[in-house]
Amino acid sequence: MARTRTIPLRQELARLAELVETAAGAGAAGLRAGRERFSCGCAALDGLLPGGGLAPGSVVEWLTAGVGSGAGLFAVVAAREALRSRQAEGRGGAVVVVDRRSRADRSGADRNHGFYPPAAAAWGLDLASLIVVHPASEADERWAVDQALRCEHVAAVVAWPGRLDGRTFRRLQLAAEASGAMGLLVRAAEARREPSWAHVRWAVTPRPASADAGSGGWRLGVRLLRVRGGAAPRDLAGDGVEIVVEIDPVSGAIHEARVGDLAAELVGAAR
Amino acid sequence: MKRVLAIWLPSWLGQHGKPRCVPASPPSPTLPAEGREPEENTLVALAQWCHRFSPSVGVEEGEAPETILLDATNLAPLYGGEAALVDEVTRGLRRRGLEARVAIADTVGAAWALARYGGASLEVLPIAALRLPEAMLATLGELGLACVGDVLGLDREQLRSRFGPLLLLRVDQLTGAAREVFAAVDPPEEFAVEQAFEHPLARGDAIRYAVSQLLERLAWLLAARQAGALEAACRISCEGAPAVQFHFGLFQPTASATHLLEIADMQLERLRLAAPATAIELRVVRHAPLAERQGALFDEPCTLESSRPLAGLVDRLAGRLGREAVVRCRLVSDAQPELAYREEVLVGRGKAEGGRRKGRRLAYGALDRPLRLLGVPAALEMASVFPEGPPILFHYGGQRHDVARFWGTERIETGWWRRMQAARDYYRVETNEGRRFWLFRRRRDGRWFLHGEFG
Repeated sequence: MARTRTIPLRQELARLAELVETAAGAGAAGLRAGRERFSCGCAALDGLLPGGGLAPGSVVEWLTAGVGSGAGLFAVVAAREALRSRQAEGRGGAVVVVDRRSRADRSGADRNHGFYPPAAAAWGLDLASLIVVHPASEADERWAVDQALRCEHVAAVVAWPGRLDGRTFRRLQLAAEASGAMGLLVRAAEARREPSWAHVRWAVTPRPASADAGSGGWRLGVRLLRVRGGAAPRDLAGDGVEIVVEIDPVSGAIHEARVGDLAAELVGAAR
Repeated sequence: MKRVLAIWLPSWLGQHGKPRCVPASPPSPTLPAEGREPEENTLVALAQWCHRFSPSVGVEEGEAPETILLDATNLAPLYGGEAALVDEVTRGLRRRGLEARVAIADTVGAAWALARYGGASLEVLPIAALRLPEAMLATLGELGLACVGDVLGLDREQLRSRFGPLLLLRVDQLTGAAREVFAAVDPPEEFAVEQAFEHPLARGDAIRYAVSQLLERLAWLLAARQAGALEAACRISCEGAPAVQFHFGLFQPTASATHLLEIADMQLERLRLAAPATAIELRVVRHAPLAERQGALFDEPCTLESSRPLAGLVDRLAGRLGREAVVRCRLVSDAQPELAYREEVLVGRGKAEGGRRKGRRLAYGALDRPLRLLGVPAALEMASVFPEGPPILFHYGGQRHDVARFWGTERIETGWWRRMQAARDYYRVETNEGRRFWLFRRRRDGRWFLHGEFG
């Protein structure tokens, strides 16, 4: 007769729940006591995320759709929110922007541009708590992002990295989880095919203005491609749900575009 | 025989009685000239610099000191005569941008007076050379006493009963009958260690080990004086080849050998020696008092200045990427967009500039400035233009962009005194796909450029 050990059911359930949670990627940072999630800058987008916001210690990717498409500003806004959330908790910190001043991008176009601090200041990022790093090569850039993510007093790291292989990306994710710093990466659209260890992945596409828009607000379509620790809501086509947001030019607030405008846009597109 | 050299800086106290800043020596474009400590310390810093002439240097007493005093006893033979010493001092100060009058005499009082008023002998000096209060000088003037010689001729008891002991004391200090000493300032601190090797070192790990040992000694020296290194230099002499040296800077003063070794390691890894090393010298170029580190009772919000982990991160980043690569940005009011901010290197600077203006209202909103700015504006070839507006379509990034809406004009002009003047009319454009760019038309020739991308 085989002797069976009876394990209390409650204990077993608790153990399984813990396994699931760690496997799903909540990680050490999410379980940290008292660390609240913070907004990504737009209430409508927060609603798509599990827990209602971004968790400290996670890596978030924004995929652009080419030049001038507005993905970078979401990273800056998220950095601002991460810093403010830490300051509200009384912990302070710094934001590190890794700006390589790329010479040429993958499409071969000459893009000798770099991060422009006055624009970030206009978005509300406190320049006194901002460190800007200028690495010379892609390898130095990856190293700088890695180093900054390991520092526990860094609120967020914003970068525009080129290619990131799986190993490097995984290392960045683990560094962010251990220290509680946010990794905010803006990638080109081609990176969609590459393996990603990001906790949240968005795709940003610019939208033409609606016919009756007179305000000067900027319309952008933000699609949640992937989120760990939860299922990304899917629409009918099986793709991630896309929300069209509008940026108010006067206040800089990001809010969901009015439904009426969307309807008019669809009608206009259908014609 | 005692000799005293006095340096009088006539323009030290400016118009409002405030001392000027001492220019850095030698004038360096990277060191900020402002942000010095209060006046005494600046004159004291200059006095410390004067230690190269004499082992004992002091500053005159009083509320508004303008004179530095040096003990010049037995210094003359080193310079080939007292006149040569005076010459050397004057030239050294002139190289630092300071006009000074220098004099040597037997006593502090006499040297002070001769430096300020000139002259060959003590008798012809005006009575102001006696360092007396204004009221007393006025009284002496009314009595018809104009120069020191007059006072010397009077009866001492009468002077004492009339003016009190101060007048006689000053006269005696001038003539040498009463001893006067000045308080010497401490000489500037030097932190340097070096080691020479009997058998030259060729292996990298041996050199690294030697550097780590030297850094431990240096750290011990620093900690003993409660000072931290801000910038250090390492010089490795090679056998039969030119010496190799490198610098490294730190964001906050540190006396920790492990931290210094970590930063030095980044440079040591890239070091290539042409020949085995015969000696290594480590020197602290800049140092500052170590901040007192009390265990915090409450969790204070950490800022760039107060956080040790952030300082360590900045040091590591600057150690590998170069000190110019890790900066903090400050907005400046300049019309030209690419110059509207200043980048400040973080390491090796000592106390960061305080008093950052908080809550400065910006003249532009979130959608008025592009997040990515081109280093060199890209010239656009276009055919047709909106009336009073930007081009109707342009090519950028290998794509064609049709402009759907635009906002402008923002006219930006720099003053005529700027060498490269910029007169530009800026427009924010949105294409029919919804992309946004920042274009401008150069007023000089009407050409169009793309200066930035939003997001």
